[in-house]
Amino acid sequence: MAKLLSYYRLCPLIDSKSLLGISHDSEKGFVIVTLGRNIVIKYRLSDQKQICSWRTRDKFSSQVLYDKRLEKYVGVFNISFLRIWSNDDENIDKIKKIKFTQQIHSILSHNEETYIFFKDGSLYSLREILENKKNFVPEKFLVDESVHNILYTSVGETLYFGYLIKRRDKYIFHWSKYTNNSKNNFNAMPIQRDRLDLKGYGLHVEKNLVIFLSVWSDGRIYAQHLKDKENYVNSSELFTVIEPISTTHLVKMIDIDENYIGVYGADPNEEGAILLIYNTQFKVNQSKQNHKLYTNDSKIWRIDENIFLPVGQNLVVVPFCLESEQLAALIGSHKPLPSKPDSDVIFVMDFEVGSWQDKIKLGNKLVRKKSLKFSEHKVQEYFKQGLPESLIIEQILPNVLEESNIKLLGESLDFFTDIPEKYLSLILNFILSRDEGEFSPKNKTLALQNLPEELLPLERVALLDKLLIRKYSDVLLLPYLRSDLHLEQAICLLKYITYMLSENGHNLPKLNAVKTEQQIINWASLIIDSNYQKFVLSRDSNIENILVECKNRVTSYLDIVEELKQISPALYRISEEIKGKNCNVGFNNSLYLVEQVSFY
Amino acid sequence: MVHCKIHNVGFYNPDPRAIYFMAIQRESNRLAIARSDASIEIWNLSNVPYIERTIPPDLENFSIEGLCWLDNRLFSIGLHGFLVEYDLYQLLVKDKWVVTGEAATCLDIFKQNLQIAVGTEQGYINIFRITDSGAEFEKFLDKQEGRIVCIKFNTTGEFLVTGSLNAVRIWNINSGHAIHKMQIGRSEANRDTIVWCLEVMADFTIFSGDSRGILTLWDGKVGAQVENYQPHKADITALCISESEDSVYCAGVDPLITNYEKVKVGQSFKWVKSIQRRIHEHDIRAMIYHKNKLYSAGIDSYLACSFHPPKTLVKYPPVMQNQCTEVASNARLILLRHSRHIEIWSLAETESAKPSYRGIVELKTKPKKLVTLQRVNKNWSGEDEGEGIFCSCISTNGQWILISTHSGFRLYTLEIVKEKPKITKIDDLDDCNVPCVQAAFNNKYNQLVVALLDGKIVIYDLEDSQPFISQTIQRKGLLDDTVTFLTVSECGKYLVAGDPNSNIVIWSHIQDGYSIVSKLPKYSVPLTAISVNSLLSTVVVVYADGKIIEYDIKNKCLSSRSRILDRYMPASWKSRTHHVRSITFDPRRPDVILLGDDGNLTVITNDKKSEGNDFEKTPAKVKKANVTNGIDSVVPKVQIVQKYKHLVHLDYLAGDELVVVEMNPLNILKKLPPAFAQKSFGTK
Repeated sequence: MAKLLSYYRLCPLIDSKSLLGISHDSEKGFVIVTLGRNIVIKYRLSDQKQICSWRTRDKFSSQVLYDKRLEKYVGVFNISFLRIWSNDDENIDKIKKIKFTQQIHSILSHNEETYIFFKDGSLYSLREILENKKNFVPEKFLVDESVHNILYTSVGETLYFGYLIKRRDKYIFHWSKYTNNSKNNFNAMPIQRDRLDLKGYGLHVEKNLVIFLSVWSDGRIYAQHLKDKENYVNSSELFTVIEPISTTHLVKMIDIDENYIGVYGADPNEEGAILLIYNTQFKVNQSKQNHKLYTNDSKIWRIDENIFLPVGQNLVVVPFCLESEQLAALIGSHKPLPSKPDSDVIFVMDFEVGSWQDKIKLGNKLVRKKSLKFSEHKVQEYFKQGLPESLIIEQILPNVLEESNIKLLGESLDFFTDIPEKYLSLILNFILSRDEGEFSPKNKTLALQNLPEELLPLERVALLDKLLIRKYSDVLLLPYLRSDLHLEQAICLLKYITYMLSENGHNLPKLNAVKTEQQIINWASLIIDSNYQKFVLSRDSNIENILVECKNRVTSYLDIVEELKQISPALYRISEEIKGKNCNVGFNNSLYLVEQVSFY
Repeated sequence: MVHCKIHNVGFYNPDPRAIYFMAIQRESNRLAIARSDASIEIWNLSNVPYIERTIPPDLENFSIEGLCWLDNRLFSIGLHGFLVEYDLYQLLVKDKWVVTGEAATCLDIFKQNLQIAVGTEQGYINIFRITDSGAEFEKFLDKQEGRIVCIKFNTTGEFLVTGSLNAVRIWNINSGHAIHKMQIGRSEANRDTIVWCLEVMADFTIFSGDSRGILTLWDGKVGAQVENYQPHKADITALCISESEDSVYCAGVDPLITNYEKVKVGQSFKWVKSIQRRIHEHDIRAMIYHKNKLYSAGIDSYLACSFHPPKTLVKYPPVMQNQCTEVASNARLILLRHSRHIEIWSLAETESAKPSYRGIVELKTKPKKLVTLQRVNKNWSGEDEGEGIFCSCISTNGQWILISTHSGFRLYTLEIVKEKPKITKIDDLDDCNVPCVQAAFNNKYNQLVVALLDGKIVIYDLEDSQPFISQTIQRKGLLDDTVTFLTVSECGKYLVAGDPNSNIVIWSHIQDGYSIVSKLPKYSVPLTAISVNSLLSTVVVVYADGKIIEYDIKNKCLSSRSRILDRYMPASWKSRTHHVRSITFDPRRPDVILLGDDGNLTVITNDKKSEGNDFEKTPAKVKKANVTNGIDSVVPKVQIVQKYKHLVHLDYLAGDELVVVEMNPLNILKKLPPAFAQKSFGTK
């Protein structure tokens, strides 16, 4: 699951071309924006406040970086010299210059260190240069050729660095691995397809392998593995075909994660730009965002979980979220593309290796023993076919619901561990909409006081409890809840949750009090989330009463939390005193202090 | 070197009492300050400002809404609807007169005509004429709708200027009619603008400050607005003009004090914004400009004195007049006086430490609050409320406690059994219906000495369970003002009393009572602290200008050290901004004098090193003095320890222990209401 969230403006840009770069600051949540050649501004992302800024007389020629090792900022000025300053320095013009005879192309940061790339085609770490400044002469790789662009990525401790050179309409990618004992050991890799233009490129790391991705004007993306000593001719293979982005214009790519890349390019309808997150594992577009304006050859950066891109006169931040990959959630929800058998194979392999193969067998036995109804529903057959649970649910649940087979539903809830969110919401709807008579009253042991009348009989409650203990992803469940759950049902459920929060509430099956509370609170926020609009607009006094009651419950919980907070220092003190530490310390300092001095 | 353990007591945190009004007696440099608990403090500003006398809160005169001086007579008005005159000798309400129109909200005085104008809630302006015996109601002016918020006479006494909701009015006192009504704008259509304060100049230029934060300049002759300025973002509640009338200061809820100066532009004059100072963090309620110094005060309960040049700011904390704390050294108790109650705490016992050890000493026991005592009476609305305290004291052995309030003084015995205090009131005490202004216990002879309001000093014998009056000392010709200092020496032999006029009298205890020993030479400057060193039989007095004298009781003359002390005091001593509040001695080194003022502990010792060799270097006069007295040739050495903030009291406890009571400014700040919130640059 990856999702681009709504974007916000970070700062205005005078000219998007003059934006040199955006980089990490010392702390997370802060970024350094190198603007308009001679201004550096530090922003806090949470409120887009400018924290501080520097302005210089000399022009920057590369983005400013924060060197975590030195705990200082590093900037390149006029292609020829460096300055290193700390956060407290106000005027950086006064900082000592570190001059070089060779021209500096840019600086980059890897593994908390800063590296300097010279226009001659060599890369050195700043530490190395500073340690041996007098004798430092960079190697020369390029003569009369200029670097088109640089690309780099880190795989663990290793830095993969490369630069593109354009030689007679042909691109050549020189790359090298940087480890402790190897550097500037360049391999040349031609980037070439007949009669097609290179529209974009990027490095992507997959399973500790670095792949050079190239986007071509026919909309295809090719991948080339960066491997030492290999004949690169025809080594590239088709990676994917990218459809939602026009490749008549330049395309920008950034590596996000092992399974995701970000792609920015022009809309195929020639209306604005598109930013998308592409899942390289399953070859699907996972999230897409439209922007009104496309800028040709605009730059794009990623810092933590934010993508930065200039849109018109503004620098825009697009936060995104990647949810941890749950294999179970992927099964069924992302059906493998039929045209790509490769990935399908991998997927099945994973499935069979999974340890729950045994569980199924176990489960089958259980089912056989417990309920014959499953066999009727061909569950076993499905299992034999090797279908995942989510698909089985998809097959059997509509029938169960149609027949309103409450008993079977209960058993299914007990049996299946992976029920897709869509069906969770359907089941919820089902449970809450049944008439009282449809439940077979048998269980008299559960005596629940003050239970809302709508929820009677107790069997309904028992079923509901089974549902409420399930694990789910709220992001996935939310839209289904919105569409499937009617307002009355939501109210009913909220009533039940409020009741569970009250002193009459009981523990959910198989969960202890704390976990029950956690689950109930999660559900409460989910329900309020999914029906927020309706709740807000409704003038029904009933809804209001329930919400007020729910609020009262929450407030009383908060009060308790507050009290616990107050108790905690006392407990701490007691524990300290038990340990035998001096109990007078607190009193000594603030209100009463005896000191021995001598004046005469 | 002798070591001492200093007990820094930080739990004396009386509630801050905001300053609401101030009035200056320019001839005698006396500043009357009304605080939120309706107590009045009279500060003497002649030298280092200090509280000369305090009129404690009174349950009947529960509100003060305005203060004014007429020569040495002090008047106030309040929401109770009375014009009140005070007896500054007895520290009581002398007389009061009903004001028509419910609560009185403001007053002003015109000294030449002996007239007081009082503005009221219902819009009546009452004119009183002051006679020798009191005040007489003279007339009303026309009634106006709504409350009169502020009132001022013009300099000729013909006109009155009043401020109220949305208008400033000018009244002709003779006819009683309003001759001009000047409307004031509003910041919002349905929100009244309140004129909080006014100042009138000799040329009948009127300044008004209002709730919009606008300072308006009016021409009183034609009743028209001349100009307005917006120096503040919130209400202007205090305004004052300099004596030369060329400078105006304003401040208020927005506590930035803004100064406007009169500048000559061509033929005419213009008022131009001058310096701004942020002196207080909370609302400023009163400002007075006196002798090139600006006194400002408000909700934060500090009195601030600021002037320029050199840019100086001195702040006087809301510490009550002297002897607000007292140490019962034998019982290891400390009495802390608050505005309406007293607290008694036990002091901590400390772990023993090596004499050479320097630093913080661990506590063996914690200090503990034992008793809170207050005298409750019915207030104006029939509810029980604690009476304001004139004075309180505790005997050295902690056995006796005295509290004096408006309804008299009460004596209690305190017993502490197994850390549980037991208080018993002594019932039949003669003459205890009159409040006493000062009191002290004589521990040696088990006596109580009280200075009553009317001037008598009465001695009670506490020997039996029934205390009785054993002696009454008449002080005619000795003391001519309220007794503000009364102390009994540790040895019980000497009784010393002082008054704000610097009269100091010493009595000594002989078989059948006290008899006068001597009256100290009178110094023109008032004294701020006095103490008896019983081991040397000397009295040490510190005056408001920093002068220290040591008087030898037996020889009836100043000690040799006293004569040369001035020379050895550091240069900065004379330019001190805070008065010496307490004096104490160390019995282990009788020659040591310890002085405490607001921020410093000053130690005066005899420098023994300078004996012999350095003798030649001492100034000629000193040598002479030494020789004539025949006392060992020592020169005083002064050491100043600057480490305290608001040192309230300094006392010797026992053995090697000293007690320092300190009031933490943060604790004052903590108890204040929130200040006017302002966004300052660079913060969030």
